[in-house]
Amino acid sequence: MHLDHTLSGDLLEITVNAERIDAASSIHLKDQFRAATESHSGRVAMVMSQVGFMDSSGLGAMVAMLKLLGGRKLELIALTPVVGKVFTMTRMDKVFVLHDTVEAARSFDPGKADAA
Amino acid sequence: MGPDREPILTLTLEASPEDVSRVVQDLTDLLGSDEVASGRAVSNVRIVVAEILNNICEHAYRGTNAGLIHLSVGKVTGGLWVETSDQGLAMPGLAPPDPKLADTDVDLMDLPEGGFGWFLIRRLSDDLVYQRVGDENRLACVIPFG
Repeated sequence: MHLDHTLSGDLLEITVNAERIDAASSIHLKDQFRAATESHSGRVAMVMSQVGFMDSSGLGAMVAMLKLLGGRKLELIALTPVVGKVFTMTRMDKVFVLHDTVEAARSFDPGKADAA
Repeated sequence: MGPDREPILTLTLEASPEDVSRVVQDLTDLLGSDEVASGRAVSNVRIVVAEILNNICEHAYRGTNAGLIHLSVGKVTGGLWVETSDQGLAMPGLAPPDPKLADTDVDLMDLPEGGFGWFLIRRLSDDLVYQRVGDENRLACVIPFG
C-alpha cells in the first residue's frame, strides 16, 4: 500500500492505493498518513475509491488517523459499497465527512456545513 | 452444522494478519466464480470471516502469529455456513462477546478505535455457536448474503 497526495487549494487529497485496509495493512497506513499530514494545517480528505474492503482494524485505524488531525474532521471521498457498509453499521459515517466525488469535496464549504 | 454438508472450502492457515488477509481475498474470489454465490453481494461473508479470523489471531493467540486456524465454509440457502477451530486461549466467560455499539456522540479524541469486530459479526451472522472442547475453540455461524 502507498499513499499519493496532492494539494488542491487548502484541501490535501490523499489517495489510498490499496484494495484493502485490514489488520495486515492498517499500521502501515497510519504511519504513512501521519507523514503525509504532519506539515499540513488545512482540510484533509482521503480518496477511497480503490479500497474494496475494510475490516474493524481498518476502521480503528481510520479513527486513529482522525485523531491525528487534532480536532479537524477527516473527510472521505468515494467509499466503495463494502467499506461504506462498515462505516454505516458502526455509525462512524456520522463522525467523518463523506463525499461522493473529488469534485464534491473540492466545492464543499466546511463553514457552511457547520452552520447548517 | 451437520457432517453431511460438504464444504466448498476447507483449509488451515497461520494465525497472522497477512494470512487472514490472503484467505479472505481467496474466499471472495472463490465466491465470485461460484454459480450460487456469483452475483450475490458477498460483503457480509467477507466482513464476518475476516472479523472471526482476526479475533482468533488477536485474542486466542494473543497476536503472537504462532498458531493455526482451521476454516471450513459451505453453502446454505441464501448464504454460507462457516466453521473455525483453533487451539488458542478460550473466550472469556466461554462465550463470544456481544458488545453494544460504541457511542459516537462524544469528543473526537474519545472515539473508540476498537470493539467493532464482534458487533459486526453479531449483526451480520445467524446461529452463532461457540464451544470449548478440550484445548480447542470451535465457532460456527451462518452468514446470509448481503
